[in-house]
Amino acid sequence: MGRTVATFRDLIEQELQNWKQRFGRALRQEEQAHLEAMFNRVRLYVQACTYHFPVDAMHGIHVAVELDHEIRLRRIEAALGISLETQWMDSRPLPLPAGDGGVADRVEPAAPPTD
Amino acid sequence: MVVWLIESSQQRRRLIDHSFRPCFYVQGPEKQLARLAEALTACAAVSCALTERQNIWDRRRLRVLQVAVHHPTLFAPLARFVRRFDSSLALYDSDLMLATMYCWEKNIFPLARVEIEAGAAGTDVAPGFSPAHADLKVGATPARVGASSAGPGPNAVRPYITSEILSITCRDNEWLTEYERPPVRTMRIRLEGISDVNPKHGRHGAIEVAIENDWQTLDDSDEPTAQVFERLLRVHDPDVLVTEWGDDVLLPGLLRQAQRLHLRLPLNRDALPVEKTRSRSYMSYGRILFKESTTTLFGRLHIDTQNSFGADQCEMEGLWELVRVTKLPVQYACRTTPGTGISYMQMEVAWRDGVLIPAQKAEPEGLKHPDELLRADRGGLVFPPRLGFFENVAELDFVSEFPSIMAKFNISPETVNCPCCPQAPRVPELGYRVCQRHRGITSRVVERLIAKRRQYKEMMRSPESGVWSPDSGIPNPQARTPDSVSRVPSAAACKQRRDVLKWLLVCCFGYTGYKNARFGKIEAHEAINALAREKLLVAKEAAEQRGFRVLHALVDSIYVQKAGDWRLGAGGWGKALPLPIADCRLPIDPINHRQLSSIENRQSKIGNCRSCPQPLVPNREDYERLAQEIEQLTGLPLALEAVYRYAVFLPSQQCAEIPVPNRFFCVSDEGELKVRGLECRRHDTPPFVTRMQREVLAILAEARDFSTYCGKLREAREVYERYQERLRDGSVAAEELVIRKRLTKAPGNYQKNSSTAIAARQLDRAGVKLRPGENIEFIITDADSSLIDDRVRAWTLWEGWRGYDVEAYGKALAKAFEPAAHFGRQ
Repeated sequence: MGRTVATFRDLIEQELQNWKQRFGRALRQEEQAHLEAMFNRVRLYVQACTYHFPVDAMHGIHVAVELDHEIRLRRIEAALGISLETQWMDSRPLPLPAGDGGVADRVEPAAPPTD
Repeated sequence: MVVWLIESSQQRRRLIDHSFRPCFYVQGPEKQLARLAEALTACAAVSCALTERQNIWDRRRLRVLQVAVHHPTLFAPLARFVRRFDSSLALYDSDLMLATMYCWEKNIFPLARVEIEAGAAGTDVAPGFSPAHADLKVGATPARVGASSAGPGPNAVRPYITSEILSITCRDNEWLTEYERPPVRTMRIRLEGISDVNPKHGRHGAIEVAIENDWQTLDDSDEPTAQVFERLLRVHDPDVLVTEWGDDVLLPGLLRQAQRLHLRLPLNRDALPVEKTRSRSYMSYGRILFKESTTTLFGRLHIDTQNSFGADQCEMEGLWELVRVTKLPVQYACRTTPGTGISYMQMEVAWRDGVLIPAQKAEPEGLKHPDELLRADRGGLVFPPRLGFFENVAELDFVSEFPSIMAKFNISPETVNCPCCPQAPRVPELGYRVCQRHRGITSRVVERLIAKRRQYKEMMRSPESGVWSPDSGIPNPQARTPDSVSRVPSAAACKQRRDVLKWLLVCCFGYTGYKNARFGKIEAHEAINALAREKLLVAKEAAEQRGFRVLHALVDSIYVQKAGDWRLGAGGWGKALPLPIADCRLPIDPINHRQLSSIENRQSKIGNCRSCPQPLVPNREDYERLAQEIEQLTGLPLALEAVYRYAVFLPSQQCAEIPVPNRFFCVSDEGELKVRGLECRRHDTPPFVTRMQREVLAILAEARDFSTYCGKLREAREVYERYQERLRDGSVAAEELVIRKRLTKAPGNYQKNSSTAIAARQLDRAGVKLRPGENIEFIITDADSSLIDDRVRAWTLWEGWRGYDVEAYGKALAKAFEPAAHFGRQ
């Protein structure tokens, strides 16, 4: 009994500590919590990571983070009753970052271009 | 070999079998074996012969020297002699337990009903037996129950007549499910007070002794305890002593007092000294554990419920079942883990097949590429649960999944990657081959255990098991013939026997990956895990295809919810995006069937999927059909464990949005609670907090859906408030607040002043010798005190005047109430 290879749950924690050390240090304080939250959300898909078990744990973590973003994006679409897929050609400028929050505040779009 | 027998006339008899000549085998160059044979015959009474036996791993016939030892006590010394003679020689069968080998050879087992042809009665038991007997425990206690129930008369003197066994024949079968239990006389011994607290830590009362549940207290006020105990032993002459802390405290204490009084305490029925082993600390699954010293007897069975896995987990009925199937001596079986039992069952199969059993495992793990290791070294799949309150949830369990895989797919150490089947089918993910020509040893062992466990399950469901039990004293209506020995066990007995078989099966899987297990091979362990992952995914896919939602999956069980026509897009992945609203993780209001806004979400956190057009109606048949379909797809038995009115899956205590696999509670249709990972399941929760949480959960178990749950939550909160009030007014008894923790190191080695460290140091100062792995008990007196020693007080050093820390226990109550309120709204 006893395992040679660390479990993926342990690997997520190891990678988090690893990234916190240097990458996290150079983040602003309000951004640091988001880094931890992002790694924590990988645990939602840990069974898929375990089953796939990539040689480099970060590959699994990347896919899990991106999948999580995808799902949450769809969820926002559903909640707002919109589909971004039909609006991707919209040429309006992206909202500018503002404030001290770790995530950029959304600026209310100006009136739609008339031309 | 000494055998103790209970005759039909209830007489106890001591028998000796001189015909038993245990054998071990030595492999090496034939010249060296010839020299060894010469040396052995010159120094001891042995018979040596060259013979052929089979090697387990490659099935080759090996030429080995068979050494039959005439005096069983010389078995171990002679094996040591061979090792010293030439360390390059391989030894087989040389470290097996003699009592069990005797059972194998004679086809008997402990507590079996036997027929014995004995020689003329010999001498009474007297001191000065040859060492041949001194080393051997009561290996087997074959029992034959008579109709007589007459107890021994007062002051009866029992000379145990020793006869020689001429022949012994088994009239029983260890695989029977209906058998007569041994007609043993039992004496129970314990100390006054809390039975779970180690009396060596300083607090214990007088000794209490019971025969047939008639308890009497022995104290030194009139006459010394040992003297009264000696008289009770002589008068009642029990076959079994069931004690609490008997191994390390009671029996050694009584023996010491008897010695001081120059009294002979007849704990053994032989005149041999009582045998003791030393205590030890050891690591298991990353935890340090402590094993008390043991005190075992000759001619009588001593079972210490505080130092016994079997008696503690499965009670006596389970212990009898354990010794019947494993053939281990009772006193050994109750003090060892089920892993030893399953190993001996495998060894018996090997022994009967003529397979050599290596004395030390010499089968290292095969070389692997790192990629292969990454792929192979994984356990079962665990899906993090969906968080929230869910109605109408079913739990589907693979019945004994890992053992079933071993049985069905012939996974056994010697069948995985065998040399004889290069074209055999491959294990998914890993590509290991499994032998198609020979049935594996482990597979044969587990299939019998699985079958017996299933029989007990069926018996539990049969109406007879509920109305008749061997304890009832009523003649068994199921007895087929007047001389039939079969007895239908009660449902409770069936459960205890099932439990012990479950432990054997669990360990059987675990031992395939245990480096020291003789029938362990990591590749077999990996193959079983790979197949389990595959089967769980097949089950998940089947459930989803049939419109069920998988809420949670834990290695061998899945929790699914029938949710109308919910599914992840009719065409599977990619077609039905964006995901239906029901799949979103945003909590759904279970009452209004709409998604909550983020503000409402923060307020309520309800996660039930209620977006389906039809109201949810529990439908057991749907779930049963699903179970059958999955069973057909996977080929493994799957049972609908329960349909729950509701299940509450709770998040991690550290992070509220992250689910953890083992923190939930469910209430079945029948109102039964299933709780995992909450405070009331933990050993270190004070009884006061456990009781509050259980009461709260019992109230919530009356709810049928979310709205009634919220109603019941108000009622539950009143209970919680009452407990807080009792805590504040100081009316809680101290023993209700005792916290139990396991020491992970010696008291002096703790660096920080944790509660456990402080209590351990207090005990250490009081002269208690503590070892890592031991449990200690303490009460929080003032958690924030600047004086470290005032923060907690060891329970066994507790003085009445000390108060408890209301705030600390109040927080513990609040923490234990939180899971109930987490998803509720009031």
